Amino acid sequence: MKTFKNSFLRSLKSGRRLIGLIFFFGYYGWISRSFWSGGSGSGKSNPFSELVPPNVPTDLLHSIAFGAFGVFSFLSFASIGSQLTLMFRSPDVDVLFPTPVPAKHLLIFKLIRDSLLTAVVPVILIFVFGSRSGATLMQNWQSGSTNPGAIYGAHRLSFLAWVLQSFFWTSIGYAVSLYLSRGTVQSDRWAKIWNRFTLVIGLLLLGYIVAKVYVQGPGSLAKAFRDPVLATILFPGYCSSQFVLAPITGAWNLAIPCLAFLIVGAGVALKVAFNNADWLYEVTAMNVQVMDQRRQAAKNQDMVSIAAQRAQSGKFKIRQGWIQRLEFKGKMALVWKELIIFSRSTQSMFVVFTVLFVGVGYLSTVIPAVSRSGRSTPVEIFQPMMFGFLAFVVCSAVATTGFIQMLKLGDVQKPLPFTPGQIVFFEVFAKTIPILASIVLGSLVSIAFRPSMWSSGLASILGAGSFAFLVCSLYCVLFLLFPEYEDPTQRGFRGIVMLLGITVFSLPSVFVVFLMYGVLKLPILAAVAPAALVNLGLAMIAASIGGKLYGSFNASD
Amino acid sequence: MLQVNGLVKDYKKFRAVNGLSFEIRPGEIIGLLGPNGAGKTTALRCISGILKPTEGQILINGIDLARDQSKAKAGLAFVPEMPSLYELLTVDEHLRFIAMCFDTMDVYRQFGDGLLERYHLSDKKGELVATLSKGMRQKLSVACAMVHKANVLLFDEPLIGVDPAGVHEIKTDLQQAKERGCSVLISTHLLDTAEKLCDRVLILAKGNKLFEGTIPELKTSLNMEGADLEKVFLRLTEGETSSTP
Repeated sequence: MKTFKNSFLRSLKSGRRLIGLIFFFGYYGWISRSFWSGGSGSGKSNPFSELVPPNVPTDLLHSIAFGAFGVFSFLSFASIGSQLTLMFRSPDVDVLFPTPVPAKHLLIFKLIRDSLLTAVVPVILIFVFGSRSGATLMQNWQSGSTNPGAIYGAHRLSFLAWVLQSFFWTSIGYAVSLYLSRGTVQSDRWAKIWNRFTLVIGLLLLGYIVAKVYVQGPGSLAKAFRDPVLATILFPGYCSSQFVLAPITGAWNLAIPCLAFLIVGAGVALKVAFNNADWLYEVTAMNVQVMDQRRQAAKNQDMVSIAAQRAQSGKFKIRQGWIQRLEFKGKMALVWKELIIFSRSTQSMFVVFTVLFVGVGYLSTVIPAVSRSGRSTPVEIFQPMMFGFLAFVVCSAVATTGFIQMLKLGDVQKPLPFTPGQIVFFEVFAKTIPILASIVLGSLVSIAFRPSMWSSGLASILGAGSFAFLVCSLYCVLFLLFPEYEDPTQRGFRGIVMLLGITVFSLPSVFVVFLMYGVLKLPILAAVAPAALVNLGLAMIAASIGGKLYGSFNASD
Repeated sequence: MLQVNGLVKDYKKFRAVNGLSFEIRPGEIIGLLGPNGAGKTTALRCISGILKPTEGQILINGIDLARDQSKAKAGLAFVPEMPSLYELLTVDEHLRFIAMCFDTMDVYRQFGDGLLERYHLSDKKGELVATLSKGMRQKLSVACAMVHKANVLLFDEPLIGVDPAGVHEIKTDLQQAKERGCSVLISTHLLDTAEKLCDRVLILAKGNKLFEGTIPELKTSLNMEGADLEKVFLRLTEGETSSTP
């Protein structure tokens, strides 16, 4: 109780925590209101009402309910094993653990808190169904239903099911964590088996859904959520959906055992967790420091530190790729080093962004624009613009990690036989290369799909590539101006200045494109090429400012 | 060889190094001594190009560091007190990276494996720097300094945190560097090491040079012949301790 009281009082002293607290109580207050009243704003007409179908088939309702609960079930299942290590912080271990508070009491407190927090996750879905248009949707369902009032019953039960399911998964998570995180040889083996098991289940599930959709067509996606195999694998999600839809389907004989399964399952897991509560302090104390460091690194967006911590705990495999075998001389060694570090820290992010570039590249070939003559042609400017935007997003992620390293490692970099300006230029250049690779890949995909758009693809490479170089240079300057990467105030300020800086520095190239493409009606490539030169020029200016700043930068300050 | 003329370094209003001048001839090891906050690390960081001097001139092999940084630093190796290494490079990659930067891959190919063996890092060759202990990182830092053909070597407390075998190897390497004609500057708190290893000592306090010369010369200047170096050092730096900026 004291911990709860202290947490509450602490929340009142910090703006950020206070907002969290208001959100938390607001959310659950709203849920309670919805549960007892049957939805907010019902009966009021709104502009969306005409878009809502009057009678939704029960099959679709099944798919929606099982889809939502099934995804929640799978995500909860995948995160099992890590709950306990995320539960406490260093001050808890140093201050709270030496007090005579029994471990079981702490476990109950954290379990209730985590269950409620986990239930906040589906907030977006609940907002959809709780909004005015959601209420109208339900009203329309109800009007077309043979069982008026059943929809509101399902609506009420959905809140209860969310909370119940989150309690179910949190209890199981704690019980399993107390076995997997002990740090013994046997528990490490269990953890390894568990992780592989989770991965295999995830891949099988994904493969099964893709295969089913591929064989039966996209229309089968809705049916997939009612598939008996999926219902078996994601049984807790299936139970929740049956329970929620019981007022509509009337299948209470199935809903009651499903509800019992969730309650009994949570109860058994809770009992197992309580029986192992003695391990709570030891498991937490062993992991808390690493987790605190990882949290801090994540806050700083320092992917290198996160990877280094994984390496220290033996969870990092080194792959010798073609980059490692390359050999450079002089300044290009900085690029080589950066690419290796990138491949070990930010590669997964890179894969995601490359997929985005490829997706946008493909999309740009199919989005049509109708010309005055009525002819439908793809929008040439769409791809370079979207690629520029994506390049900005990717640079933010790549450059943050990379420049934190540059600040940290001044003692090894500055004595290298290069001037500060050269070091900064090659650091910026190295960070642009992976982004450029993604841009080229995305452009090639668009050209492959529609070869007639080659000029748009080439313009994307020039425009977005030079823009990426400009953004990385600006990031470098900003990191050198505000080098306190662990200071949240500087971090926030740097973000604001970056947005302002990128707006100011991108204006000249945007103006060139507007003038040449929009006003003078020149081909896209002819319009983007000079804009790319402007970007490169500005990037060089920014890099030389960065070089000057780096020369007088003292990492020890 | 290394020549420092009137080196001044200010941190805002605080003067960390005040008009320091000295010279290290080829084949000479100089010990940089002084109490905490004397300005030893700042002086070394200025000479290695990490910090920009407020005033003064630094000549490395006759090349002015301020005029031609690339050429001047090509002949210099620096080992910082806290090993500064790329966590996500392997031990071998780190060594290669330094060799590539200094364009001395031939030295790496010829002596790289031997260096790692001497510093007991052979079995860690393919492991990430992140997994190394502090002592191992220090050894790797020294190995990186040895993998290029630098003839001016700067060491900031190189023996702190290193095991006895490692200390022995570092001392042996320093002696060999001296025999090869390198100029070596070592900042250290270990007075017995300075006494055994260094040809001359340079004593700093509050950024000022208090003494430069051999240890017998130091003892004679204070009329303390026969006294151990610790007592001599304490007498010289009495009342000169200062807080680090």
